[in-house]
Amino acid sequence: MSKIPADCLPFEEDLSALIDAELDEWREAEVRAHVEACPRCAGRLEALSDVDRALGEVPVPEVPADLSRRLAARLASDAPVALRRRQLASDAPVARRRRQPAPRGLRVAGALAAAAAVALVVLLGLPGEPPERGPQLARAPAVTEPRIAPEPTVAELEVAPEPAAVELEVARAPAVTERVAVDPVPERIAEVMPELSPAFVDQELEDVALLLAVDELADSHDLGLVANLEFVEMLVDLGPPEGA
Amino acid sequence: MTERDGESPRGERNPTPAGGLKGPAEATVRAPDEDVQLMRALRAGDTTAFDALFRRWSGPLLRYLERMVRDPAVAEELVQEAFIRVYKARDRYRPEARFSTWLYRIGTNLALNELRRPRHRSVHRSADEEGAPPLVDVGPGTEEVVDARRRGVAARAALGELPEKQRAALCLAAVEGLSYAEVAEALDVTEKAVKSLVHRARSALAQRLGREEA
Repeated sequence: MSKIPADCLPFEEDLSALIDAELDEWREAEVRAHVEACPRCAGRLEALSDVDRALGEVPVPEVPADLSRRLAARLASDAPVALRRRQLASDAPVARRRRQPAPRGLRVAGALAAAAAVALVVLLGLPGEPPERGPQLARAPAVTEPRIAPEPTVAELEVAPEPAAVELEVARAPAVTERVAVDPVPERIAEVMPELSPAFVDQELEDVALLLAVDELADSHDLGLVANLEFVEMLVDLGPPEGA
Repeated sequence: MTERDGESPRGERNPTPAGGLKGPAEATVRAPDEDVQLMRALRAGDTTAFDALFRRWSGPLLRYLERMVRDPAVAEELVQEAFIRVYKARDRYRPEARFSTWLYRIGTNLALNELRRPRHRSVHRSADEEGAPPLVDVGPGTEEVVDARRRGVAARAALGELPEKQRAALCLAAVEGLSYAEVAEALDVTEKAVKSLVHRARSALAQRLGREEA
């Protein structure tokens, strides 16, 4: 923009305000009168108005169909997991542990048991924890009643007291494979399920199946994350695999 | 904003905001009382009200945040985060404040935090990388559509080069249709500052888009 003539200077910012209908009646009449008499300001008003037209042509993103479901899942876990996930994926260095994969049977059973532990903690809460209903999202059949508990939640249980994060790769349909940071499970899960030692659960967290198992429990049985106690108990009855 | 809510202090301001947005923009045409009622219902324990608020406002908020952070995936995460904060802060919502202004303020804070992250600042994206649809599949009579899309892609790129607060102010005022007073509340600045931010942003875009000689 070239230097603004002194006569136009008092009207310069008001050109945008005119476009935005932010001027009172009196000032608007003044600005319009100036614009009609001033070719420079008339051209400028047109150029500024063109910007709004161009902004109207910026592609508009569509809300993904599964966004509400993802929101419900996050409310259920009550943790900004995705943001932590991205942060850890992009911010190096990250403490990373790699172990030899366990036999498939062990991993699946372990993952289911760990999922059951998570589900149980969510479902039952911790001793003395009052129940609270979370929001319902119409497009979130998998998580119909997420809990936002005032007491420690699963998410809080997942917060490690020490920064010993484990970075994993987890594929969560339909999202692409993403790197997930899962903090070591503290001992309080073991309080709920003594048979699942923190060491065992921590090991199994490295298995992709943990989050998938929770999701699949919800999807395949239309349970929500926290709905069907009998089913979860059935899984728990499987117990930790031998040698865990 | 299209005379949003029927109570805009600006009367007939922006009868076709930002060149006449379609789709999610239409979601901004709604009665504020309805939002307030939904928030009151949510506070009273009616969780279906949260779903209604999400359906009403996720589109406009996603559009705003996508223009702020220029990354659709990040914008989606921020939308989720914003609604999580709405849910958690439902008891602190003041009915005298418009829900949309409150939501945009939450979203703006999240976006500005995101943009200040080192990895975000270092990322430079081309128009294609920013998710602009490819300019292909030109059928009969689509030349105007392609031109419009090209202008939109250019505007999106130019918007991304603006300073964050200018970008936020322009998007909120010119695209989302907030009044300067509402933008001021969302950005935690004065109305006078908003007026200046919006004008400087428009002027910069006019130059960058070639609407005006440098």
